[in-house]
Amino acid sequence: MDGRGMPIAAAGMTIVFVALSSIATIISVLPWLLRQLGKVVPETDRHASRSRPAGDNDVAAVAAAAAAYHIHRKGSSP
Amino acid sequence: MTVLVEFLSTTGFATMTWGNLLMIVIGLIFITLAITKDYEPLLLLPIGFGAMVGNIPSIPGMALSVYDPGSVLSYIYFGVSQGIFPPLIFLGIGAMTDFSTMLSNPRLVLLGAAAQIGIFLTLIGALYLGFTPEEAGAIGIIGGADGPTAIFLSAKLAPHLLGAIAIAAYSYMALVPVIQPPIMRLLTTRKERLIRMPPPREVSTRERIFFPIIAFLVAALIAPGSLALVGMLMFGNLLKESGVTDRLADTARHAFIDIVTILLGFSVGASTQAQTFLTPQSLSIFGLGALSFAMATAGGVLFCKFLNLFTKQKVNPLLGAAGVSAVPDSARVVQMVGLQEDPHNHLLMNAMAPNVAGVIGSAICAGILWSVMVK
Repeated sequence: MDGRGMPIAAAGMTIVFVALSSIATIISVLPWLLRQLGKVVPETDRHASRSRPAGDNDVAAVAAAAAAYHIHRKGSSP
Repeated sequence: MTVLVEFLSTTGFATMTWGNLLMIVIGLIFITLAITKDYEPLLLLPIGFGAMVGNIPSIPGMALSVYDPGSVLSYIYFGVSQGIFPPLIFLGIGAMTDFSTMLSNPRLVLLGAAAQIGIFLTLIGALYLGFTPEEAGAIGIIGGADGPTAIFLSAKLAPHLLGAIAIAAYSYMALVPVIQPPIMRLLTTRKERLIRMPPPREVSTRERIFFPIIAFLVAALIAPGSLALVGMLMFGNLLKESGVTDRLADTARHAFIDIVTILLGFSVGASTQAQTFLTPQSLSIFGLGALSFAMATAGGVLFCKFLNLFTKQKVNPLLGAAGVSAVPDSARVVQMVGLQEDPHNHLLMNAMAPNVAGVIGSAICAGILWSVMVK
């Protein structure tokens, strides 16, 4: 290994540049790629609904059930 | 009476050496710097106290120090000696890092690569001074300005130098506001320091989610040795950006990283026993460490100037200094130096791009050195 400092340094810097340049290149084209993906799979705001607290979902479910029951009653009444 | 005399002969007063005393004083200096000067307090305070603990002389036959098998401290130190804590710290760092500024200006990523020159030039210097290749690799990583990465690599390549390397890395990280500005001013003209950078563009949620996955795959495939560090960094970032694991991300960036930092700082401090720490090698490591920080800063700034020769939209070369991965200290230094020239030129957001790229870069360097040296 002695006397290999320079080759290690040169190879090391090359590898770091290759790795980060690759990442930089991918980052550069990522917006374009995601725009193309967006045409096939549109971005939705699913995260907001996923991260909603369980309590909110329960309230929404109860409200929906109540509304459905009300409509059902109205529809079935003479 | 005999029992009393025997007991007194085992006290710390009786077995204390001048070296232990010096290390306790150094520990006290660290604590003082952390409390009064606010220099990296989250690390210097645990390291300082750990240094005091580690330099109370052990009683022969009793397992007390980090190096005594079966001692309580040795179990805590296990996380350091086996390189477990640094990736866990990276998990927390990933969960608190916003890569948006880097995603909005990809060419600034290259500054994070250029600043790694400090690591490799220091490696050459250490080899020249007679260190073994493994030791030289571990010392060189100080130039990455990343404490956990330095600890990780020294644990793998040169465990006997771990204490000195960790202390040097964290000391110089604390001294970033002192070391970097003179080099930045020396290597740039006033006109260059006045260059204004465009504000970062808005980055979509999808970009932020895709980035950690892509960056991990690229980095780990090119340098598999960086797998643990980059993997945990990007995993932490995905926890943050996915938007569906807020609880995990919150734990990773608060309680989790705090616990690991306490254990890491304290046990690294406790490993600095005078008998193993106060050696001529440690002095060389401190000298090389200072040099590596300076060279990393210079490398980033000079590469930025080189880049400006070929690009129409000039980059403020001060940003090159943020390529060292002392996050966010070196970005703050860039902001500070920029404001000194023009009070309305805010470079902080742009400086965060090479700064976080530097974290990835130094982790990749650790992976490269590890894979080269173990062969």
